[in-house]
Amino acid sequence: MTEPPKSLDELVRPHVDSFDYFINEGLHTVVSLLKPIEIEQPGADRRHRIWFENPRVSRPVKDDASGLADKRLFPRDCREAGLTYKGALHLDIMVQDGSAAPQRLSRLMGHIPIMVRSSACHLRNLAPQQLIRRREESMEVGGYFICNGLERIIRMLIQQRRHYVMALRRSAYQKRGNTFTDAATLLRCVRPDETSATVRCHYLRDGTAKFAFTVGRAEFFIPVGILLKCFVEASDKEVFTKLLATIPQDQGEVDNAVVETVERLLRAPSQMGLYTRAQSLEYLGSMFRGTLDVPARFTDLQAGEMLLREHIFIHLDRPIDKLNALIAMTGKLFALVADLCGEDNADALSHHEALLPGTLLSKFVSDKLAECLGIVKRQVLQDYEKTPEQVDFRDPTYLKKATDRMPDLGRKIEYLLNTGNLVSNNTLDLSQNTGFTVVAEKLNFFRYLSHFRAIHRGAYFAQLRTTTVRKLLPESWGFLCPVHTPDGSPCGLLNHFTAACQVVARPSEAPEDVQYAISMVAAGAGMVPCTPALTPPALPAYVSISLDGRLIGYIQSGYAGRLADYFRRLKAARLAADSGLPLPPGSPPLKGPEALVPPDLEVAHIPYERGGPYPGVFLFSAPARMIRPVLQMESGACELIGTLEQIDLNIRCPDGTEQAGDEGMYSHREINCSAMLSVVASLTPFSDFNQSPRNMYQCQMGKQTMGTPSQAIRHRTDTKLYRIQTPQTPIVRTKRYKEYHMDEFPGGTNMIVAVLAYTGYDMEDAMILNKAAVDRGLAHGTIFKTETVNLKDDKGKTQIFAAEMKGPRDRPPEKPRGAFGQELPQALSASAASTAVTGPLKVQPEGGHRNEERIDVDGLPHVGTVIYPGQAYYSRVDCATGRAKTGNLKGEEVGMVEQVAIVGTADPSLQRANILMRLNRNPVIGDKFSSRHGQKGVLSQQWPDTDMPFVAATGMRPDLIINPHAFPSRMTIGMLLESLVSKAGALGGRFVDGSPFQAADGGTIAGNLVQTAGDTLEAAGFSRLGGESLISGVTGEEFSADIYIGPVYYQRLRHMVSDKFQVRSTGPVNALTHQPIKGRKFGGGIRFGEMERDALLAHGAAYLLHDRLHTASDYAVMDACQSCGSILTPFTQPRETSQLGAHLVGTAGPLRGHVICRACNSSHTITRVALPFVLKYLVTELAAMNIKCTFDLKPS
Amino acid sequence: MLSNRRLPDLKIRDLRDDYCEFELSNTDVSMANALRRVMLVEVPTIAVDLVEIEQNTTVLNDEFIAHRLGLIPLVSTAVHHMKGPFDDIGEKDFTDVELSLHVLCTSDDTQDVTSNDFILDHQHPEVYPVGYSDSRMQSEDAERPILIVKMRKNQELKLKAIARKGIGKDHAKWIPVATVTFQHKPQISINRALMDTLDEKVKEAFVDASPSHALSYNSVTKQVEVTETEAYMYDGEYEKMAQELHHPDLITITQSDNEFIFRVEGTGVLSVEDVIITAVDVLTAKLRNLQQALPPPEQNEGEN
Repeated sequence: MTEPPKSLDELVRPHVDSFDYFINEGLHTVVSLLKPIEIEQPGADRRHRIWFENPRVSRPVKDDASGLADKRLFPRDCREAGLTYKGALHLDIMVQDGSAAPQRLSRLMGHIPIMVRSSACHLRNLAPQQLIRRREESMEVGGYFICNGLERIIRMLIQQRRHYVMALRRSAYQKRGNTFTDAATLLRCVRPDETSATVRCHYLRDGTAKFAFTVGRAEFFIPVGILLKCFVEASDKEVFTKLLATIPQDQGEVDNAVVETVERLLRAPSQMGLYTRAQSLEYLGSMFRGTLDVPARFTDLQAGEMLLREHIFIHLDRPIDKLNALIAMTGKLFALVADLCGEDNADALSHHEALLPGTLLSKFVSDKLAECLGIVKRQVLQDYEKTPEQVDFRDPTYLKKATDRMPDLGRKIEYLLNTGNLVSNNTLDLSQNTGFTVVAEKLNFFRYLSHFRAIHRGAYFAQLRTTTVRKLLPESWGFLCPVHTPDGSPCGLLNHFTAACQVVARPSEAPEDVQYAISMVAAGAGMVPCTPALTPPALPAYVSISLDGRLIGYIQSGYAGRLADYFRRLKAARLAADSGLPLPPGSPPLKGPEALVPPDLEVAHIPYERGGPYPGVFLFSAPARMIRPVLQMESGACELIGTLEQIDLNIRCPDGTEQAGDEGMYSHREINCSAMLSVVASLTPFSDFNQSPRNMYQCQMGKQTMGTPSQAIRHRTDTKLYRIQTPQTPIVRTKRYKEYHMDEFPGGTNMIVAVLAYTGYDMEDAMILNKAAVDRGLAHGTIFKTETVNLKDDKGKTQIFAAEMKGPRDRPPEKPRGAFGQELPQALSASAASTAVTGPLKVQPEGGHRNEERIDVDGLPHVGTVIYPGQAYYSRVDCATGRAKTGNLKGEEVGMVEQVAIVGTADPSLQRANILMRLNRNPVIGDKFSSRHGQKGVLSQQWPDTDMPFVAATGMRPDLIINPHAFPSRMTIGMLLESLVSKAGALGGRFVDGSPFQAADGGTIAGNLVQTAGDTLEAAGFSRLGGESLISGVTGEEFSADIYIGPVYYQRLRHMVSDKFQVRSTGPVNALTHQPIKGRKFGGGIRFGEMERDALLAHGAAYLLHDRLHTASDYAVMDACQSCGSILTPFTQPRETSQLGAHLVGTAGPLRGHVICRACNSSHTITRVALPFVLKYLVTELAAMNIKCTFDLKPS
Repeated sequence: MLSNRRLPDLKIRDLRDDYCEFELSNTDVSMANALRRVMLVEVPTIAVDLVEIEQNTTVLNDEFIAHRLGLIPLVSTAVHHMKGPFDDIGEKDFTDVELSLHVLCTSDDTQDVTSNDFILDHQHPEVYPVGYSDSRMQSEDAERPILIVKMRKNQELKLKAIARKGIGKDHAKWIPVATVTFQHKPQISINRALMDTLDEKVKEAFVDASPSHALSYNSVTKQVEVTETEAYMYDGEYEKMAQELHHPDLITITQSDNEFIFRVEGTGVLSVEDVIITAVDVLTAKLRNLQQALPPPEQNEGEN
């Protein structure tokens, strides 16, 4: 069997599947597992029960769809109108009055956001043609929500693996109490409705253990000895042997110290007078009544049972299973303390699972529904207190009134998605409460896709000082891409799945049947099923088998491997059968219980090894596990393996380092070498020839490329979209390029790149582009900006879109001016006689209103109009005042109106319009480009075509010149190879496969790639090594060395000077200090700070220093008094009224008023000095604090 | 001064409408390069320079279409009696050629808007896109016209394109040629005496050393002969082979510094002959300009 079919759908499948499960089954599970509330009628022995049933989610419909034939609300409508794509959630509220038959009340719980392409979405199962008709991408994959027009996704988080006991040593555990040590075992229990709880077993210094669990946000401890007694009626002896069997015994001998410890543990309860299960339960019940909110009528025993049921090992129902779980935890704890087993690494992927969107929503909804019931209960109790006569559980109007207090669940979910903030009274067993959602930016397709493949370690780890969590561990091989992680702060925390990695998003269809079938199969393969009476054989002769954290039996150690093997064959057969392939040879028949073994069952067989991980056979069928396909060595069948399973498998890697004698040791092999790479990483050609960090850089830069973000740009409302005008398909591409249809979203150009040091403008990662190539359209690009104008945003005003009428005093419109006062449009001939000057518009717009050449009578711009900076492009009129207000183009760039979309609302008049502006971004000096090998560079010159060197034989001039110094230290051999191989490909008219590790994968290219490409080149009359003799375009002389020249696929990155340049000569200043303000947006300057000042001081550049810090800053001339030395006392006396206008007739003295010093009361001591204005401010502030500043002024 | 004066020779080897190969000798590399540079960017042609778009409902935006129109090669034979927009303009001079285009797609299929859809300026019908054939007289052998944009039903493109005279220095759309290149003529001499000492196999291997196949082995005369001097690419393979055979003197290859082989490929805008002749004119005009600008040579110079 080859690789499973791959397409883009596969990549977002964890998201979509998980949400589907949540909508279709998860909600039912949540509702059915939600504890009904009981309300006791005061003074009467009557109880009312309220619970939910039958949740239903409907597909999104339009709000005001009354007059419409098609009421369906489509994602496109939401994007363009800034709405949320949501469907109604209905629930039945069941109310039971005493023991009467329950009443059913259907209620709308709000509208919950719907994931695009999920089963509740209108786009589900639409073919590309139909998608296009719905104004979507032809390859729309969904997986995101639309919240107020924005596309947001719930990002996946790493969580601890459920139902697997972890042995940990953490110094923090010692702080839990006096006798606590650092050793503990930990188990994360998850119920089918995805609510979870983590419990721990702490080792104490006296050799006993304490069991820790949380209720709400508080943590509680119970001695393990007592808890062990609570589950079933069993003698201490039974528990003793069971517990002892979980502690490995070397050479059949039990360590006496361990026996003693266990004995001490079991003896503890009797010292407190607890001998039986009932006593222990009553004890616990009495202790926890208060915290658990136990109804008064419950006995302590019932309260104790409730505690066990609801808070301890919540993933298990049967007490015996819970006991086994506690024994397993305690046993592993003792084994850890006795150094019989090692500590588990909490950072290893083998102990992790993924938090899926559906899981998060399940948890959240469960919590909120419980809250709703709580609110109803409080309401009813309040009513009983105040107006008991009105409380009637048979009266539907009362019930409606009582339940009306329930909050809008949809709004809460919307808030969660909009902000990523989880608002809850519980922690929900999550390590963070913010940052759950992110916007799926459609900057380009790489960026977009990787949002769905990303998995974050958790916000908690981001602030951790240690780097251990960020380390790349071997456990993540094949699941997480080692290349695709960002640089900087999220490095190693934000990882990306490999292309083939999947997440099990839903449990098996009938989980109980499947679990039973798995037990049956295991029993058939040699398992001794566990029964309460059975005294289990001890480790390591026998190992336990557990399924999803439930002990199902034991098996003789020697047979455990065979059992695992049998399961693997079944898994492979099921996978083959599910995908319609013939069963692999030698697979067991799929009938009876065998037919029910799920293909994604994880079979982790950990054999015993002293000090190694705790032994056992661990079977997992629950969702949220990461799985990936590998091939079985013997049968060649495909099998899905999990992360814990992987560590004990020997998987052969086709890396060419096979040695003699290795044959028998492998049980599996990788499908191909690209299995370790993520989608984005696997698109780098020849990445196996590059130095590894370069491939990481490319993963980053690929995501910043200006490419083709979408094919439905007209129906998108992103605030900023980057698009390249003339993209090409790369000559050299990897196999995955085609698999993921990357040609639909191309993002670069094949440029003829010459590697030479020419002109000096290619130093230090600068690069030269051929001006003629740019003239012809190379790397031309556009930015699309959507301006959403919503008149409703101005609260309390009634406005309409309308043009502004011309006033009687209107002057003819002035020509627009640029940042430095230049006239726009620029680059016109100075001579008006020349026809190069654009004449007046030939087509005169009708209207006679203001800005008529740009704005139509309806207040919206003409499509295709050029808007210069600061010009108005739409206008709105306030209905009350009749005053018009225009929207003016911000920034310093010229925009073109691409499209005006008007959005209908409930309002009869037009209230909302999306104006799509287009800004030209053709390459200019300072723009950033990069090859696909982490080689970024800044455009330093657009060199004239004639001055570019040319190939003597063909006359070819390079499009781009890159400095040879870019190669030695960076070792991006892949780029050199790409150049050579694409040259051969271009000459032969063929695309070339640049997949990494081709040789190891046994690819089509036999032998040396350079050899084959060289032959092609030679046949075409070129040098086989890619060099050509070039002639300088300036002098006509030939270069003494051959120049390496060939096509390389270059990406244009979105970082452009137009967005970044910051210059000013003069501009706005701060009102208080008179110093230039900061901020590019406001026309501010770049701070000439302390360190810059230091540099100038060190150089002794006094004049420059003075210029920067004074003249070009807050230079001010002010009056100062020579005698008192103050700059605050001089005061300009206003001239007398009679003197006003005296200068006009030339009779009186100075223009300025008369300046006197108020302190000295004289004007003779006043002198004018130049000082920084901020000094005056300082002196004033000081004066306010009674500090006087005097200046010693001497005439120069 | 006169001693440096040389009269370059120009020998034409191949001359077609869109290709020319000639040998320029008896001059310097500076002269050759100057000629190349002028041919590339200083021979004026006509190209669309200003586009007034009246209606554009196609998928491409206005600037994109305008840019594409600019790059369409226009037959520029009229350029010689045309004035540039910044020249002094007399009564009879003209600077603009007004092409127009109006296409409305009415069919259900995709319709191509091509350079054939241009309506020519009736005053200057000699300016038309390369490969233009009037839609009324489409013939089979007509060249495929240049695609501007594709349309679907009800999309419309209506515009006026003003073509002007210009040079490649200003914008690549005015470059009259696809490429111009020259190379130094190689001079290959084989040491016959030394070569005769080698046996047949080695000679054959020697000939195959370079992929350029400048040498060949004549099996009749049992001699290594220089067959295609110009095919040699200065790849150094023969010298390398000679080194390996421990006869570094076996072959000597040098670059000639006064013989150049030019290859000019035209685009159809101007005939290549026209380009070369205009280039020489432009170059002479430039030199004359320079001569006039320079002060007359001082007399005392000759007295030294």
